Amino acid sequence: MDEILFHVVNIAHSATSYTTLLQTHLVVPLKQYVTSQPDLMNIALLLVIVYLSLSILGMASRWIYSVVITTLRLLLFVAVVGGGIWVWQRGPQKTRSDFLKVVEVRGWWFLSCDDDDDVDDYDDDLLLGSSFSKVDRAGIGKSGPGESRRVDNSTSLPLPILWSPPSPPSNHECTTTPQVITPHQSTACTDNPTPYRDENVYLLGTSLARPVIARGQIAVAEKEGCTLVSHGCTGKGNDQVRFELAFYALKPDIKVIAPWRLPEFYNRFAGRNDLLAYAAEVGVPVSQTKAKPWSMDENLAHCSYEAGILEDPDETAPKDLWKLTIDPLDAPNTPEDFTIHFEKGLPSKLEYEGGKVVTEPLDLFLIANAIARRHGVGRIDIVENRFIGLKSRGCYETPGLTILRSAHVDLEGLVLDKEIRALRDQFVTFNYSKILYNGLYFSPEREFLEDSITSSQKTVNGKVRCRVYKGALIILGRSSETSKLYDMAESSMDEIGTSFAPVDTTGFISVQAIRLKK
Amino acid sequence: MGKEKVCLAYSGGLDTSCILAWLLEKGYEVVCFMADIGQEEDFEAAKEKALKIGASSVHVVDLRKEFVEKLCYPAIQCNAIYENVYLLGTSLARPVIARGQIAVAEKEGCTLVSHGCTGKGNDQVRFELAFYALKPDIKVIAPWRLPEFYNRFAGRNDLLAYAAEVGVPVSQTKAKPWSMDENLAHCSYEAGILEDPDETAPKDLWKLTIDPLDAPNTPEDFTIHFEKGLPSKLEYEGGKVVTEPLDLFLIANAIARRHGVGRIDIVENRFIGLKSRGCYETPGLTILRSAHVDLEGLVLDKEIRALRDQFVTFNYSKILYNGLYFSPEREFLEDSITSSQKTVNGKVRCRVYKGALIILGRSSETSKLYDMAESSMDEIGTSFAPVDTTGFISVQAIRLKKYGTQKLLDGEAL
Repeated sequence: MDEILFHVVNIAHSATSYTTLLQTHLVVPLKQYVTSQPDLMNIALLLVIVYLSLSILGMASRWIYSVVITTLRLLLFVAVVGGGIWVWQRGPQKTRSDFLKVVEVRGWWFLSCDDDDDVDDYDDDLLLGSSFSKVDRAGIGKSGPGESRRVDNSTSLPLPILWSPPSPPSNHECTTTPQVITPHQSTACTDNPTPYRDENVYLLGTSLARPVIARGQIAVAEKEGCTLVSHGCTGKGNDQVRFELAFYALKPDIKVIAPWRLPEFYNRFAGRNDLLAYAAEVGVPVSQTKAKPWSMDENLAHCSYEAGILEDPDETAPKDLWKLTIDPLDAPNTPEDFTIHFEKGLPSKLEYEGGKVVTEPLDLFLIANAIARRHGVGRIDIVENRFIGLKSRGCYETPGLTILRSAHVDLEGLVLDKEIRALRDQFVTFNYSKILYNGLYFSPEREFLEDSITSSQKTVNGKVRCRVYKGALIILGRSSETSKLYDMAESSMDEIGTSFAPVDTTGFISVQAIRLKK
Repeated sequence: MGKEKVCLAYSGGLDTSCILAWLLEKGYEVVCFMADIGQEEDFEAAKEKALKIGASSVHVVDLRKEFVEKLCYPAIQCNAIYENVYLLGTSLARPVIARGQIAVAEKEGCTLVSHGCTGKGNDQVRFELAFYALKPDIKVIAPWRLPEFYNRFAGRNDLLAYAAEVGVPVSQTKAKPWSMDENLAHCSYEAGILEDPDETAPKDLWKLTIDPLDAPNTPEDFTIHFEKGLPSKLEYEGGKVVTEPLDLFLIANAIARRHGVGRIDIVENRFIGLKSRGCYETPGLTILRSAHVDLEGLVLDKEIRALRDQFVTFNYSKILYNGLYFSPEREFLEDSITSSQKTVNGKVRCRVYKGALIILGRSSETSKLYDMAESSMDEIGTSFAPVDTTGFISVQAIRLKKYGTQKLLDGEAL
């Protein structure tokens, strides 16, 4: 025992010189104390063990400390690099709006608890970004332009929408939120809004979705190594053309199976009953709900209805047809006001419900939809000309897009040059709409026109104050901080103004009249 | 006589009354011309006023039928619209007024014509280009472009003072803080407080249509029949029928007005290059045009429509707006319009409610373009086989496959 103590003391002695004093004062009397009382040796042994443990702990703590520091440095590096990539991908303005969105989403949740009673139930679904319900496409036999598709709106992650190349959709089955995916898709809410209408009335809700879907489908096909693609579009509609022309442009070596154009398929399944029988035979679960006597196609922009009882163009669409918008007759008796801000022709901010603000494109679109829906805005009933040359009657409700488009048209009156507008309206809008409608999105001419669109929108910045009431959109006013095209003094009937003299107009008229006098 | 004769387009208002007095002061003999194009105006009172001021004669001419049949109807046939929203109510009236004024000028032997249009607007251009085309040797006096006039009368107060001086009776009602122009097709409002494009038009601005918020809670249904693209019959109020164009137009106006249909508030591009904010209410014409657009979906060929929409409608509207009605290009386009409307026969069932027009249905007895069986998703039909579409798509795709291949080679993903 003695010897052990002696050795330990020696180690301690030789280990650290600064503890010598301590040991001299501590260990030596301790030793004396211990040697005089043998059972204290155990305690001494314990103390030694404690000392050694502390040393080890000290080393361990230094090691842990170094690890933590390294981890923190690594996280910081990732954050900086990630942030840099984010800003590079999204652009500084979008990054700012993302940040604001995060802030506002917090505030939003907080506020939505206190929502007033005017808001309909489905608004919360929209705000929360839930999926639209699956649409039964095989409603009446081989009716309906296309297969069921579920649009998943729950992604809140803002994918890069203005910067090419687009990232292929991840796990969504052939669809993604049309709003978010396309970098160059000119909807009124993403890239380049122009006041386009097909045949005076149709806002192209279905046409806008097809390129997105096709691109997603081809991406999945490539990922999975598929050599063929297939769809459920009829042989009489537009969608078969839209899909297949897109497929061939995206992947020229792809092969397409279009069952509804194959006699072996459509002869076998001549109607809904044949399909139901086949489903029973092969064990396809069929929903028990009675199919509606028309066919629907729904996406974020609109819901379309055709076929069935609508095939008679003189048959008024029944009241229960419309899924998205309230009947104007049942819409609230109080109008609702809101303000839309535009930057380079794109909706950049929506102020509504007396103080709420939304800037992120998808959310803005959803809010615009909600506002329009609860006031019955956006319904049309038309007979249109299909690309393949048949006429077709359809009902469409396009809530948010109607509002955004009309506000955009109005703002352009204030800020867009007269001749740019004329050229754009006559050539670009008309042909861009036609290209979209006919399914020629993936084509050189669409890229050509889109460059025009972008060019025309450079000065379209400002805001429009709007009101919705009983199915109609009313413009209350518009203003722009950047545009000087509207000069109140110059246009005023009460002031002479300085940029030109009234007598100049005499010359203008005379020159115009040269030809007319002849 | 010795004095030169001027035919002045007189409106009964302060401006043209002062111009009348001023022209007399300048030593002209003035003949006044007033066109009745459907504005709600006391023509007799205006006539007396002009004579009192010193006009040698006043001609009030009812041009409403010509306005509807010669101007509004072709506009309906091609769905005329300017910058997406404006239905050209004022532009449609000017050619009629100008033609009437030149007719009176010729009858009275006037060598000059005059008007009260400002130097910044469209109407001066529309009137004068029409004058020069109708009567190339005519001379025009445009007071608001003459420095001696506009420097002397810099504002309303100067006009009022002059009116008092020369004995022009001035109505005591306070002038509204904006300017109006009314005719059968529409009423337009601009200037004054409207010059701020962010200033919402006040509720009491609108003269013709009821505020949609105050419109009846029960919708109203009616049916419009078209022949060759022109409204031929209007059935309304459960049994009443009207066929004569002017009456039909008036009824359509009445229906639209009581339900607040046809209001717009826009900023437009004037011909001379300035922007201008205006409010317009176009009741009957809005209804007729929208019904016509709808019927064309049923009965008009796809490619005719495309060509017509892109070239004819756009340019016809521009021509009307810019005042180039009396021009070779307008005749050229009108031939196109007539040609495009040969098959536009049928009827459209409509409903108005709280400012909106809703289409209930449409049908045609003459057109076979819409074939229910052929378009149906439930039937195969006989005119073509679905497999034909495969060929159609393949041929369309020839070019696109090349495009896609090039994109892949260039490394640009689509």
